[in-house]
Amino acid sequence: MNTLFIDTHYLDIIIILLKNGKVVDKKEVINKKNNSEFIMPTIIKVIDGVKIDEIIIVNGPGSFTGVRLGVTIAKSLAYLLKIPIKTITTLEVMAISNKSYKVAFSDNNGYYLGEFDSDFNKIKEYKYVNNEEFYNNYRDYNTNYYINAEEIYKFLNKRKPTNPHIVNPIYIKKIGVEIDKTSENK
Amino acid sequence: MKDIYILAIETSCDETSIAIVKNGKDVEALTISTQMQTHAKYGGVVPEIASRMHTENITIVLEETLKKTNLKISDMDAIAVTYKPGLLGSLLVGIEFAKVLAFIYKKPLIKVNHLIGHIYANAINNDLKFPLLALVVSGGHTELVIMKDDYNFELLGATKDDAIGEAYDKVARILDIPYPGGPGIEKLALEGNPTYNLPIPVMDETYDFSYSGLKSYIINLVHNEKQRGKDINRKNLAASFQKVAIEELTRKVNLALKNTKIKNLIVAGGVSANKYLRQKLKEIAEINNANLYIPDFLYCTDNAAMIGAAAYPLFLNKEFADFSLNAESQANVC
Repeated sequence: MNTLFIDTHYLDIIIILLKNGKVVDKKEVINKKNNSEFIMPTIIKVIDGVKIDEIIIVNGPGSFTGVRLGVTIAKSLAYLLKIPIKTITTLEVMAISNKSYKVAFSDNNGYYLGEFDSDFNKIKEYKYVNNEEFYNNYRDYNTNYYINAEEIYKFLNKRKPTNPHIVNPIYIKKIGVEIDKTSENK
Repeated sequence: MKDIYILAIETSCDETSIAIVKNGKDVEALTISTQMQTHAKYGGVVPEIASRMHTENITIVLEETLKKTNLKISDMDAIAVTYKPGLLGSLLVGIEFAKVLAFIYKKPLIKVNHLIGHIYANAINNDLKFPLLALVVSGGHTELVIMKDDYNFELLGATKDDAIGEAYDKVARILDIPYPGGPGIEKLALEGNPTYNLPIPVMDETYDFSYSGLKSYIINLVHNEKQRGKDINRKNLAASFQKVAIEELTRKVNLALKNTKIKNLIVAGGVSANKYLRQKLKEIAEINNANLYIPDFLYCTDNAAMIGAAAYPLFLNKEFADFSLNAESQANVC
């Protein structure tokens, strides 16, 4: 049972291969903003010649483009290979890997916040706050981005696969036109 | 010779499209999923939303395309994808999807210039006859190009500022015509007469174009009339703008046909759907004893079939891309 784990949520590309839940290969490309040149070549290095049975994709929140490219590749692989795909959020990755129940992921302009119970079930909707609000109210949140792929694999055992067609990024942070629309409605 | 099948992907702007094209000319299957209604709410294409919708739709569009044919992905000889010009985030979704297809099915990957795709829309159900003069008219481009053979391009002239499609969009906005503006102006113009005396863009004998002066003149005109409390006759202004904008194109095409003695004229790009342009070019072609080729309406606007057609000569030349392929936002035909 080979599981391919793909995480392209920000500037890094992390591709991990698990065999029966144990990490057997890992390739990282650190701090490459222009991910498109590197994502598929890195994935191919890990999976060429390997029969993949399942995919785990980190589907955000994070860099819009980074997350989108990873998700596009992951859902396409799952759809074309007809294998199960499971999604996990960046905040779940942080919570499970760090065993922290309050986690925050920074994209430099602000922080995505997640709060979980002891089984890592989300107890509040994710939200995005600016740096000032973070320092004033959420400084106790764990901001260490760390991946424990084996713990994530175990956690996902209880989660059902998603139909690849509806695997999509979660964005959380609003974009310009959404903010304009909200203010018009007020 | 064995038939060549290419699966082509186009996601450069707000259409998610996938096609299967045989030998660069027969469209075996085509799906175009347009986001136009979503972007119309915002008065134009919102790049981030376009990218999001491509990711949401891409596998579904492939499934729809495969339903229209007995062919399977394994029957393909290559996977082609638009890589420039366009919205970066949108292009990248198509590119990554194409890479996954090429990797899984062990097919060569072909990168296609979207503008060259528009030119090769004329090769669908047809044979390109060289040498030819190509008029490329879209939201981002206004170019006159000579082609002596497949992928042999010589730029004759281009716009020095705005593209004609861009001028249409901006004039549409000032006339309160909803997005997309081009078809809106065309419709309004049919109900009016060209009564406004507008400046003619470039009264020279070069092959270059200019549309920013005409656009600015109209924007100022509308503002001034509003300030004086006068009403603009929108129908007549639309008709006047269209007459000047299109006749500038056809005047230069006429000049080029006369000077180069080329007898094949093709039109490419979204503006080639404009009926007034089609009519005027027909007249110019007749005067010059030239053959005019215009794609079917379906292949005038963005679609993947034209990408499959444009990929065919590249396939024959074995011009393949690798998995590090990236998108480029800006590009010309040549």
